[in-house]
Amino acid sequence: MSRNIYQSLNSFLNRLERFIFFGHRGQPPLELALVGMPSVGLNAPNKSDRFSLKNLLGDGILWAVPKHRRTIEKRLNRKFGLPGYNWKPLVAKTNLRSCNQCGHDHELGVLCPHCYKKVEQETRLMQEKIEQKLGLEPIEHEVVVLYQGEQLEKNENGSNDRKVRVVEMEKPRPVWFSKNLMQKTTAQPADTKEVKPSNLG
Amino acid sequence: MNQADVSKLMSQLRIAVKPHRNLRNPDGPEGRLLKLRKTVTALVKHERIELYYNRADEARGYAELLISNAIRYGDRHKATMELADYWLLEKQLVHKLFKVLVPRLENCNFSYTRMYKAPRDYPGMYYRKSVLELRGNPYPSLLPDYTNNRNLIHNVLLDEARKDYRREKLAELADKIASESAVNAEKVGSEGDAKEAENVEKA
Amino acid sequence: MAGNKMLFQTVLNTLQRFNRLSNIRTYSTSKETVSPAIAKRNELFSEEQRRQKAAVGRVEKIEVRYLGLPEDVTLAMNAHISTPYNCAQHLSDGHCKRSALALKDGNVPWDMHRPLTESCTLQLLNFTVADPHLINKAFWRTCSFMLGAALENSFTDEAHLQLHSFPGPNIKSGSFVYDIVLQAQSWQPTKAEMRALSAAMIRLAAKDLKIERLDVNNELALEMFADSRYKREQLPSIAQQNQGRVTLYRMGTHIDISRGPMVASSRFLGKCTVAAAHKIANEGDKDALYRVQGVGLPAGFTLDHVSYGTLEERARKLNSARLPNEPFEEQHQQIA
Repeated sequence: MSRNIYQSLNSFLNRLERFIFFGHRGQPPLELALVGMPSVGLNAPNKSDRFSLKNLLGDGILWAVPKHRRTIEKRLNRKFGLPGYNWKPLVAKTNLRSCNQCGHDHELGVLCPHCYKKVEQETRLMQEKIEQKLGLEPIEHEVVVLYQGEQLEKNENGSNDRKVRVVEMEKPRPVWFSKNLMQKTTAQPADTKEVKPSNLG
Repeated sequence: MNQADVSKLMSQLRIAVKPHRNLRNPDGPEGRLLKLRKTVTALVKHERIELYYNRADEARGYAELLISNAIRYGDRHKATMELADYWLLEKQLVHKLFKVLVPRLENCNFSYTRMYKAPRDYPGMYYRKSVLELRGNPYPSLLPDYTNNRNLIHNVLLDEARKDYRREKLAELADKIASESAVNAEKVGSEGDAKEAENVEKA
Repeated sequence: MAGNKMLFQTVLNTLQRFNRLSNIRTYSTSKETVSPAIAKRNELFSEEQRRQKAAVGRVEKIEVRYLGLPEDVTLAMNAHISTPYNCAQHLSDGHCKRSALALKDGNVPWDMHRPLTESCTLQLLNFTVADPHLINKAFWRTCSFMLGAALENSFTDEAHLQLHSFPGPNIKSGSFVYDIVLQAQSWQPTKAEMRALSAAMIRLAAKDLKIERLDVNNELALEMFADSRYKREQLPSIAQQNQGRVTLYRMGTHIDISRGPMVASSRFLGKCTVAAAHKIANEGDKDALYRVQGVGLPAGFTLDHVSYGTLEERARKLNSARLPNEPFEEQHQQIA
């Protein structure tokens, strides 16, 4: 309490002092020009004869400051990182190729995003259809997906009694999804290693 | 029994079961295994799934093992059935394993599954993604197919080389037949003269 | 140590013998300087190229409609100056690297480094397009052309090599061909010699040499090939078929007559083997005509060694293309 009284008295005396020294010259008090700045700097020359920590600090706080100089190596490492370990600047990627099918760029060894998106959407539609059709029945046959206007292929005997689960998509087959690629060959694997000339002419 | 047949006696996995991966789970090791069982189940059910690389890589080994054992021992084998019961959470898929996948893959000389690295958005998440699929699925292919183009230069060259080879073989065959018939003709030549003479008399 | 020395000595002996026998250069004796005749030919070529470029005069704009990946675009190019390669430069680095041949207006194969003359549509072809017929043919022709360059680089002056010509490309025959005249009537090439020739081809491919095209008139062509007897003999008939113009191709310092088109650069040759050299006929009392054959694949095509071995085996058989000393059946078949 008494400290507060001392402080307010002190500031009043300060103001009074300033008013006596500067007030009669008709200039506005400097605090108005520099709002928020500690008045210490301005007053210091006048009070240089007596040192006080309070004058030095004013209302501010003295933060921690670097004690030692940081070497150039350290500063550069902080700025750019270490090559091969944690290199911070941008590096050009050389493992990019453009897709032969769609011309979009993709990473080497990774599927082309554009082509993959197309296939993924179609796969998702097919999976939904298959799951709907399946229900909770035990799965005992291969699934065959037929697009609009397609018919189930006959088996080797020419009869139509292939045991398959037929799933129909209510849209035409996409042009890029060639049916030919999915066909399995009916040719029997060779049981001899001898190559005979056949199908000549 | 030749060597090729002997090798079939041993179960040889094309894709081995991978060492333990850190698939972190709040439920501990059981939760981790449940995660893998869910993945194997989904793979058998959907035939093509997209997931994180680590999970796919480990689950792939177990799926290969399951299919390989199913092909080797069939559905009358208790241990295999227990294995299928463990890995497949939806029990209708046990039917699918033995009745659909075994006939489809039993003559397969390479791995039963395929794994691709899936693209991810840039910069996206750190984790890599992958696509895991069973071979012989009904979905559109993920890779472009170059094998069908007969007009690519090496295909043209190989086709012509094959035709050339066949032509040569045919010529050899024709030569052989011609020489054999010539030898036969010489052999029967002396007997034939007598017969011809008889024929002429009859006529 | 002693073993190493012996090995080195053996290799040296082999190389010396090899040099003596065949006059084929090996790595160490590779030709660095070009002969004055070739230098002069190149000078004339460059001069004519400069003259033609200067003769274009006022630059005229043309519209080139590019069809293909990633999207169709219209480019404003300069008539008689811009080439399909320049169009590819507007698209991407990948297009420049991958395109080996251009297709003008959907049906005319056009060299990548040949200036476009009028507004047209343009497609850029690589070796994996759906219908690679045209580009395969251009590739095979380029292989023959490069074989000529490899032969010219490989033989020493004592061999008195003279390039004759090469027949039109026929991939189905299984080999590309170059006919040469050598001053040796009984040259039986050894395996090592053939391997050295194959290596010369691979070295050419590794150099990534641009293949340039130039149409010149008959008189200039005669001047350029003043030292080459066989080329000079062929020139009048070629010029006669083509309104007095002759199409020349240059790769590095090698210049040859060809109808074209060819692929953009020597880089496109991948795996390559010079398989055989067959003697065809005697020329005079010292020289003889030989047919050198090889087989190759574009860069990026992989083939297992068994299949490639079959192709090599087939390429060793004498190619049945028209021989240079046979009389003309069709005028067009003289030079590809």
